[in-house]
Amino acid sequence: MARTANPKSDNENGRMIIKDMSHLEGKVHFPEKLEKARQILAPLIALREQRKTSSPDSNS
Amino acid sequence: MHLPRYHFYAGATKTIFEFVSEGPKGYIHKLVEYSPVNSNDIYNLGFGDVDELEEPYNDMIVSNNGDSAKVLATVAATVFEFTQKYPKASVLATGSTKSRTRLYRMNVNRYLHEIQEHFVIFGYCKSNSWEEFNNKKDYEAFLLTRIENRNEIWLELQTLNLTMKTVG
Repeated sequence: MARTANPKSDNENGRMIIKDMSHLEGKVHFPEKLEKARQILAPLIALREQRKTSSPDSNS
Repeated sequence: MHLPRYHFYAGATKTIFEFVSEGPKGYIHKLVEYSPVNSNDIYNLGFGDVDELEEPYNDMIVSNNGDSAKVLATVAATVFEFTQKYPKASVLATGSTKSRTRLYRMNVNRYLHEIQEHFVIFGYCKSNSWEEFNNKKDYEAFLLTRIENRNEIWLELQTLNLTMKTVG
């Protein structure tokens, strides 16, 4: 468990700050959870794929 | 929803968020990520403690930092930000353990009224079927989307339920 030595700040009011997190973006940090999601969502994904391929736009 | 929550950092794509939990165990770095699940509009919510020395990060750790409501309120705030950027997104959330999934359900129950102003939640049952969230039932997972997408996704989930019945 990572415990950091952040100084006590005004970490209280839930403000969102955009920062460069490109080193973290595009990676999967919780792969087991993603795998579980894939299993649960497989039928929904298949349904969407099926609809995509059978829609008239898919022939273009 | 104006619950106490932590400051949080967002990456430019708003698919990754960070914040620091403060409590008796010290300062604990938390990461929330939204990963696409094979399809453009379906995402998995990953959440856990950051450990620079160990990747992938561990979502099984029980931090016991005495601030679980505040931590979950911060995660909820990231859901709000994420779905503002990706309004068609559906987000799947599962706990890493049954007790954690139950904790999520209890928090959804507590703030259901506020959540339902913006979102609709579907529960994934043990029987592999989907239903609109019922505060008296336990679920294996939750699928959340903005209220504007309700009819579209509910139609899909009903189709899946029907298929399950036919196959079963």
